[in-house]
Amino acid sequence: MLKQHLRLILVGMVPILLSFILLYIIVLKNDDWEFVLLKVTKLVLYTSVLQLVFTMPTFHLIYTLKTFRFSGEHILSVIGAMTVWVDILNKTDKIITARFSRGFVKKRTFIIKAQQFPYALIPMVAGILRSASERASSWEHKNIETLLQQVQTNRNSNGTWLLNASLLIGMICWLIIVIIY
Amino acid sequence: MTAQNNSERMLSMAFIPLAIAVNVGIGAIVKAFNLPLYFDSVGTIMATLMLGWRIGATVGVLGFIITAIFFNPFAIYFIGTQVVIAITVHVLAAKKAFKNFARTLLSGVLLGVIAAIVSAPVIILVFKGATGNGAALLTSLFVETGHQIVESVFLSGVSIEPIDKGLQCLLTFFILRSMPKTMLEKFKSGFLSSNGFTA
Repeated sequence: MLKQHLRLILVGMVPILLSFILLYIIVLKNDDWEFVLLKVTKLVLYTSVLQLVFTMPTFHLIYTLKTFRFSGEHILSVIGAMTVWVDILNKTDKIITARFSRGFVKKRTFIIKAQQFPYALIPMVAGILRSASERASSWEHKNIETLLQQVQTNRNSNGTWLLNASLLIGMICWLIIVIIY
Repeated sequence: MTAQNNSERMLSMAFIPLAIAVNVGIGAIVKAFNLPLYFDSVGTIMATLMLGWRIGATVGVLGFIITAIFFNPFAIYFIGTQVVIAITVHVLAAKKAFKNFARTLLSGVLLGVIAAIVSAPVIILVFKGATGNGAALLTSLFVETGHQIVESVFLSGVSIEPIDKGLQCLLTFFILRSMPKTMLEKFKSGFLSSNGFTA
């Protein structure tokens, strides 16, 4: 969790601060640092709240979605979305490792790995289509939707859902008020 | 519900997370370089072509939530753009606009203009023109040449988005063209057949 929020500061706050400085201080010559810092702080606060609301362990996610009366189909899509992409990124890494062991890639730096992405794309998508087909038949065979419908909501194991909902609603209201006024 | 419908529904559900991974993966790499391009809708375009706009929009919305959690926190404000992209691709694909290279490129440019129009109010109201990516540099350039911020945001969007979406549509076109047709034939509810991706 801490790592994700540090990433928010690095990936989100620094570039946005730099672009505010460029646009309002350097180009428009406003010299209004208070406005720039206030805007950046507000943006980071809204986004931090959103990030906190949506960052929850997968085993809590299923109870939260059940509490909000999501159907089995939608629960499956959301949980799949939260977990599968890590597998895909690992698969892509494996494709790049295979190219590395064949001598197509000299170093394993981030830039060189990114340059290898187009070569990894076609096998990755082919793998995705194959996985989708295999998962679909496996889920159909296990009747997974019915199994998900049978999961009982256990509010004791998920006391954060009300806090999350309140934070989300509060954040959206705050954003709307700031935009209007 | 017939067995065939159930199979198609299961295939859609299994494909959604995987298409999200395409959106998130490509978008994260491009974001890491802070380029004035986004490349964050390839999965949305692909899912819409394969399974229709509802699945495409789901892929776009969930993909942007995940991107906001793990890679680019400000992606969450552009969820609406993803829904519009899915609807536009659906309408264009129904008119066979992804049948060949030229039509796909043209569709991408049109999609870019629409995406720029939809994103501009968010960039102006929420970000006051400073989005923290390469587009903000272009906005600054337009402001420097004497345009108002609102105009500059719109002009930078219209300059970047058609190129970005054009490239994304072409990338999707080439990916789908290079897939074995037997693999794509299972996706019957989209526009693959009418656009010549399957026999």
